[in-house]
Amino acid sequence: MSLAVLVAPSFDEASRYSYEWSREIVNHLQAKGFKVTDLSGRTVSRNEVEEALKQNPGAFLIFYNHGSEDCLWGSRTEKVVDLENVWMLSGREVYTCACLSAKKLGVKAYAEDCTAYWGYTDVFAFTTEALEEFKQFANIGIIIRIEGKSWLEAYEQAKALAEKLAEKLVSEGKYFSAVLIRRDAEILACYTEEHPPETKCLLRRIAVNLFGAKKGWKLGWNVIGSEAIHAAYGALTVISGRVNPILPLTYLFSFLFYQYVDVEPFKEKLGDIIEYCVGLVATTIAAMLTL
Amino acid sequence: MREIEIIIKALKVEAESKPNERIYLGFKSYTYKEFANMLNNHRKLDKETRKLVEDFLDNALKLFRQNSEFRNKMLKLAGVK
Repeated sequence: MSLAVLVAPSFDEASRYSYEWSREIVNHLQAKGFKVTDLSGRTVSRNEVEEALKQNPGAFLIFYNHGSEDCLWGSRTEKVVDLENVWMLSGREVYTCACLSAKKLGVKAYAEDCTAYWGYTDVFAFTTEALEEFKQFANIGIIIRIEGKSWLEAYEQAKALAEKLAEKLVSEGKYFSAVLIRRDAEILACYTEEHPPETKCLLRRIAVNLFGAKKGWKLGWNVIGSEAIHAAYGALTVISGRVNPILPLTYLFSFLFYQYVDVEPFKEKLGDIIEYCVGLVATTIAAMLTL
Repeated sequence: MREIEIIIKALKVEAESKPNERIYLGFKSYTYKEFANMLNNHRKLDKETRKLVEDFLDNALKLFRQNSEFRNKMLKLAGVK
């Protein structure tokens, strides 16, 4: 029997809507013979989610609620999945209807051998005048997947549906909704073996080309593609007017730093500024040694 | 009138006619009127909200250029056509 863990907390207005949308998915899963562990309709704790994942190896994880770049929220204060326990998504197919999580958490999940990660790279938006249309768009991916189609097909059909729904909303005079549903489709991401995350980072692209997508994304997770390095690289390139030889040393020092120091607790308080500081210190040391 | 000005003007008219509808953007939510008012004041907003509003305007502009029905309705609502 196929297994699914469905997490759809409800604790504010937005999450009450996403919880309602998730009920359609429970029905679809059960109709297709899935055994569903349903943690929904209330605040959900990290322990509950971790326990459900442990009890259901290989199960789909389906999540409807708020998200951030690096986590999925079970309540206003508790992260149920984040970069610390993302390894629990290894070998699973993950479907999220949540803001932003495909930006960092989804990429990390992919690097940790998550089979598929469906999510959004920016803030997911919806309106009260087009709840049915936004529900259709939010649910279509997992419905198509449990019908037995591939994630790539689901992704293409979701994009096509958004376009169709936007046209319908325009014809009904629902212009805010039409714009927002197209935007949601634009920020939709689906990472699979055949459809890996994309990046603008030159070094990450080199790593992916050299070692393949999985290994290329695993390599130096905290270093390659980090904002600190981008900032340092950008500054050096602008100052020197060319690709700077200090860069490899900057990478080395940043890599060593992240290997031995856990910056996550500082990030809670200081945000990305901690990464800029690391980049700055690493660049300074590299420059002092090189010049 | 520039395209973006037409869009903002038309959306403000839509917002006026739908006082009870809301937009949900992550943890935040706005009435259409509140959101429409941010469209031409977005430079004064905090970084995160400004990005959302700018993204919305970019997408509205794309739809305006790609979808003739949307374009015609925006022109009509803005009183240009």
